[in-house]
Amino acid sequence: MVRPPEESRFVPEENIVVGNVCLYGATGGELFANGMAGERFAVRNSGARAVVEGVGDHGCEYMTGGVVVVLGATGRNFAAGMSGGMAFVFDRDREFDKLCNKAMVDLESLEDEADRRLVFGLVQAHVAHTASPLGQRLLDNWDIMVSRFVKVIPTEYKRAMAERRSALRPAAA
Amino acid sequence: MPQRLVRRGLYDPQMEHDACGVGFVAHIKGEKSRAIVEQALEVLRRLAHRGASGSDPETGDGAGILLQLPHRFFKREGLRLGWDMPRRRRYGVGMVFLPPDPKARAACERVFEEVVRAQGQRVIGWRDVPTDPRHVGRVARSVMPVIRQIYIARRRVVPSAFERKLYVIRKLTENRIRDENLGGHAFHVASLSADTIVYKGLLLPEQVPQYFPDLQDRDMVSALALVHSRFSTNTFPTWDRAQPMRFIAHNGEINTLRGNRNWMNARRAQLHSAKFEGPLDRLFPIIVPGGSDSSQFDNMLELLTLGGRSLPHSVMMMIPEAWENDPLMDDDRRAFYEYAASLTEPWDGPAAIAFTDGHIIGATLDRNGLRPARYVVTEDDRVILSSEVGVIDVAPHQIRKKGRLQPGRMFVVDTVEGRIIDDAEVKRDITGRWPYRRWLEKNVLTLDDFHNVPPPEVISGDELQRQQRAFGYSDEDLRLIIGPMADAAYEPTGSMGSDTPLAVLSDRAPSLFHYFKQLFAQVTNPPIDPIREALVMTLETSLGPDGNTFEETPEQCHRLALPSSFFTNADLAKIKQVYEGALEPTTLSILYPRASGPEGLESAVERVCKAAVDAIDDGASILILTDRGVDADNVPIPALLAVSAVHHHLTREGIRMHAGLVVETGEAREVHHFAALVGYGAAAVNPYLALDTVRDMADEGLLDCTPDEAERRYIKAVDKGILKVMSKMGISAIQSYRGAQIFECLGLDSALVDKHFNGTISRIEGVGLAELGREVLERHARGFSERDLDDVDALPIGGDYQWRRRGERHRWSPATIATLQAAATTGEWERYEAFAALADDESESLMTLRGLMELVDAPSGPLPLDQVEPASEIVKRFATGAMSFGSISAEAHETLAIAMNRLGGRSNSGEGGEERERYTLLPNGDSRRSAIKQIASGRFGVTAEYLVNADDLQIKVAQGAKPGEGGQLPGHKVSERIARVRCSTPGVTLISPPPHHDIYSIEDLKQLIYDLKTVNPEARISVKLVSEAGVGTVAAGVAKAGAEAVVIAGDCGGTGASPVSSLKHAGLPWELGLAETQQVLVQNDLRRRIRVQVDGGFRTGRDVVVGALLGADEFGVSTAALIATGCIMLRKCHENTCSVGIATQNPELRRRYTGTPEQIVNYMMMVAEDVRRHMARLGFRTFDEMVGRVDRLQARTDIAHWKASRVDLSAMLMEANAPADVPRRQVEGQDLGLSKHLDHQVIRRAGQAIADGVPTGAGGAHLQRRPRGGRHAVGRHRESSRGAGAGGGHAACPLLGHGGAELRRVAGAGRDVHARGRRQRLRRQRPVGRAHRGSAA
Repeated sequence: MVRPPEESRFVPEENIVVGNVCLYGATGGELFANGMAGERFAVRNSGARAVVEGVGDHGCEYMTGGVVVVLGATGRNFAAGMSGGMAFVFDRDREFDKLCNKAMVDLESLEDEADRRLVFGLVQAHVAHTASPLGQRLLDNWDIMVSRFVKVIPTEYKRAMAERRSALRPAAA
Repeated sequence: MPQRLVRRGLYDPQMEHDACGVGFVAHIKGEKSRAIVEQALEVLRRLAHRGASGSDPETGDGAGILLQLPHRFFKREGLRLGWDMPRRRRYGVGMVFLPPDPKARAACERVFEEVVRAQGQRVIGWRDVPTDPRHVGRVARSVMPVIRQIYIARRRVVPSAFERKLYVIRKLTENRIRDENLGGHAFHVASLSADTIVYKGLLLPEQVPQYFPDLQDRDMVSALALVHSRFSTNTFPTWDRAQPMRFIAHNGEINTLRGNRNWMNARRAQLHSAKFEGPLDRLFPIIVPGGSDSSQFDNMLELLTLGGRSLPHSVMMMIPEAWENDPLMDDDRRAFYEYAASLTEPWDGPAAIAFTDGHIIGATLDRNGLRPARYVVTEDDRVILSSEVGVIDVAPHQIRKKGRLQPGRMFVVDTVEGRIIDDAEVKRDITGRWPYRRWLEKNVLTLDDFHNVPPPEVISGDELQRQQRAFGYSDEDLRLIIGPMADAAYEPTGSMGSDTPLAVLSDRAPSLFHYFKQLFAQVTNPPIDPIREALVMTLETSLGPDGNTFEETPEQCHRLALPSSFFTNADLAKIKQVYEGALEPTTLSILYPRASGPEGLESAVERVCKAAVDAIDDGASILILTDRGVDADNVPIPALLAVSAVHHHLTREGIRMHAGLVVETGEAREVHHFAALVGYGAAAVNPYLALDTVRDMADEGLLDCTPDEAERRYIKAVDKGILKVMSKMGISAIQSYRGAQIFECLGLDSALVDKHFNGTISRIEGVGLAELGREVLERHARGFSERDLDDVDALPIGGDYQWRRRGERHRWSPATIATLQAAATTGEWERYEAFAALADDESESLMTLRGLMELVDAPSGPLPLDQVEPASEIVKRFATGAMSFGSISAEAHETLAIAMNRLGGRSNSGEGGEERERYTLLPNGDSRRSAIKQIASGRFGVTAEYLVNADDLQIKVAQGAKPGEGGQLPGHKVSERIARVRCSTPGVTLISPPPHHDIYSIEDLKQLIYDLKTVNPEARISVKLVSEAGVGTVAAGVAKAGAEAVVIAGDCGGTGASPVSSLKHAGLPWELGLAETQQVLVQNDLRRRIRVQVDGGFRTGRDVVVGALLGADEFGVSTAALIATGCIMLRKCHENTCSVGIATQNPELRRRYTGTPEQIVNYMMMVAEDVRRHMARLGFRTFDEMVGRVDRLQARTDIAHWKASRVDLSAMLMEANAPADVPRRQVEGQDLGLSKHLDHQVIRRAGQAIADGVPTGAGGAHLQRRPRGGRHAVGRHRESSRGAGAGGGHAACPLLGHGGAELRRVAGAGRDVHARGRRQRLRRQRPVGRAHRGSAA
């Protein structure tokens, strides 16, 4: 958990609180950062779950697993070389489409109920851990805000997960 | 006499790298105070961990501070000295380093004063700068200059011109002192200005204020202060390389330095500026050779700024943003960059640069943001910017804003206007100064502006084959290179490395291109990913004359813009018709008469150079060199020689910028060829013969597409390939790559190199023009001598990529493979001897550098064999190579591990994790655990458990087969089992990035080493590098960073799949890399604390002995070990179809694997035995005695071969330049100061919680950026790791303070915090950002 000290006066979501290349190669765990991250956030992440309030260029590059929720702006070349895991970006300014490298990923809206629950849960945890005002605002207006989230999922990962699900289903039945 | 940076042996000071900590403190409103200076010095102290010291811990690599010139202080000092002091701003002060010798010093001072007077200014006097030599290290003291300040009064110039005047004074003084050789290198002007002053030296950061008592003076005030702490690869002490420079402090690496400097020299004749009186020519060299990359950057920036541009404007020209592919950039800005590109090429490479002229202070990052910079703005109007956060304590409520610099973005504080100017505003002001877009629209032409012209007729049929043969094409070129490129639009891959002779040892007339090896980035700067980060890469280029860098007029951008440097025959035909304005193409033939014989080449080159000059004199602005028209009587100059010779000749003549160079050649066909042509100055290349070949193949139905499509795909493959070559070196714009000469040549005569490839590294001499001429004729005869043509109806077989009966020789032939396997399987010594005889055989050994050497027997006669160290000891020095579980089958991987564990040697996990079961012993006592665990850029499978189960943690910086490149494991190969160890999803592709994203520089590496050591203090930390020119200096940096071993890998490569051009043309033989490493480490007295391992084609005892004598302690054996267990060099490891079950995951094929640990044990023991026999002959009882005894190696004198006899190994076989008592091998450990680690405090307190399995508030700690003071709460330790089963301990660990850039360690090491944390519910989170309270739930 990262949050600015109580005495600080700056607006967290507009200020950098974690540096570059955060969560490089992470295999698990959770990170909640009440502020922006630098370049290459969650590069090669393969298992960590994280909520941040903005990221720099090359966010989620080479990611192979885990979940990243970005509540603010991203830099350029988001999701380049991302082959696994998922990212959810709150696209306030509707510019994400141009900032994302779509060579390996699909962009979708947040329609699936499981996805909505996942993101809501993470944002809730984020607020619980960091008292993020931005997070709180999103939760307060969740039904409207949820439509502004973009789901980033690698094409190959989506296929592999679908295959797994269909492979598991007969076994479960 | 001070020891200076000079070339000696294989060491070349050009190869020095530095990377550093940078910071500034400024008062936005320009209020001068002591506080600013003191805070800046505190920043400097806290950046100390980014600096380094060499063998003498008290001597740093350099540190310093730049301040506004404090008038009160200098006036007071002047008055004290009895001078008549002018008013504020009516004088300037120079900070001058002078030679210690009084006579030399007096001479320098006299010249300085003469120049000042000649420039119409007045010398007020010289002030001795008080220094306290108690506060410098022993080594620094031995080369300490005398430091004096010169006061110069302004006369008859307006204040705004005074800085320029001082610049001219400095340049003229420097030039005279250099030309007259008065001060040696000790003379240096750290600064000379009326606005700023620099205090710097070969100091540790904390020594700066102690050494210069001036800095503690109450009158030493400033509104801004720039500081710098240097970490250099070398320890050869130099005071002048310390920073800040005069305008900048730089953390980074200019990859394109050589090209930038050459282009600046090429512009010499064009430069003029109304701002300077008289010709600029007298100030040359503008960019002073021999300086660090930072100082050369400073030289250029200074000139641009004094030439009339603002400092931010000049910085934007030199470090443009990635504008080419950014759809969101505003058009004015894009137009500015496009225009600026026609005035100067980018200085490309990772960089954080802080700059100031004394009024404004700012910083910028390179286009890819590969260096960090964070800043804080406080409520009391201070700005603190630094390479990292936490450099100054600011109370949280005092922070108004905290931010980071973004890639390519700028941040400026104007202390005169009293405000911060953000990137958008700074750049809007600059880009709006002129209507750049309109200028471009009017003046820049593209090929679409011209009519189509019919291209020359396609060469086909017999004539095509004649041409192909004459240009040295082989059947393999078509089948394995050109065909696949035109088929898939991709450069093909290969594997099992390269085991053919070096070009200089080949009898098959290899192309000149093959004498050149690509250089690549390792450690000191990151390579780039040209695919995933394509947005920073660009191939855009242009043709036409270049203008005057100082002027901004519409005509300056009058050029022909091309989207890529490689184009079709039709496009070239168009270019030949482009007559518009100043654009005027001229075609020059580079053919010469066959009848002139081998010696004809030299005069042919001279003729072309002269013709090029004449053409330019006649107004040509596009020079097209062509080798079309080869026939029975006319032979081509090798295209690379023609391009480079013309490029250098025109540069020397001062007219290079008048014309762009285009090559129309039949020779270029692989990516490496194109890279070399551009690297030596070509703006564009048309490979007409390769294109006609592709068309022919399509017509013949050999390709899956139409001729036009095949041509398009082929060009595309070249484009992609070139991006890869550039990105290997971390270069993103082809404009910067052009002429940057990022190659080493191997086997060319230095007279030839100095003349036609000037500035290229060449260390073993070799063939000259006459031999190259002979090879031209030989190739030509293949196509045009009737005798040769009658022979066969096809192209020569080649045999470069795969062994062929009549093809090129290979070190691994069916005979060597069979004898080795027989020896390994039976364990019979006679069979091994048969193998070794074959392998060491003279005729074969003329394939490698070690084959050109011979061992010098003991003068006192051989030792009895029983007195020599036993084979069972020697074998412990052997390791097998890094081959991942994934690239080879589990069976093969485990066999290697079991065998090496039985021997007490080491096997290597490779990248990609290891299955946990392998950590438990087998029932028979065998262990399948790999002793060496690799940490590669993908970090796949790197968990705490993995790290703890290792004796050696190897950071793989580069890989022999493809240095500077990333990798990819395609989804179909990611099985359940592989996915499990790599912590990923089955069926999903895994990509390894080219760089470690937490190692962009040597100080980053230092941090990772420290972190790994914290995880597993008992494991040795090693760093794997690949042999190339400069690897020795990188190794020195690695040693200073705290690594305990360095691995120097040869270029031959192993099972890794790799683009063929990397396989063949990147990296050097291990002999060169090892010799250089040993020389540099010993010279710096760093060898004492680091071991050296070498690998790359080791096969016999003789190979090992040569390696030991050149300086290696340990040896990697990969290919031979695989062959011992059944590999037959099918060279299709990347296809998953290995029929002997080694390099495959296919269960069917894996069942065919017949390898056993015994085979490897047998083979290794016999190699060790072989080593013993050599040792007995050489008279060494122990292996250690033998290490580094290069005196017992000599060049063979019996070589009569026409090419090999030209090779000169003396630089390689030179003793390190160090006193005899400096150890030649490792004798002591590294001290990383682990015990001071903050973790240990936390662990002590948390330990109880983990042991007891009860939650506890384990206490906290205060983080502050202090050198070695517990910067990182990398919360994890082996106790917790080993106690994985121990249960549900829960430690809460509140930490207060500053974290930041090091949060990346959550990646590096923190990853296992998470891994552990999750399973164990030990949740530890690091504090991050600045002044945050981290608390764990």
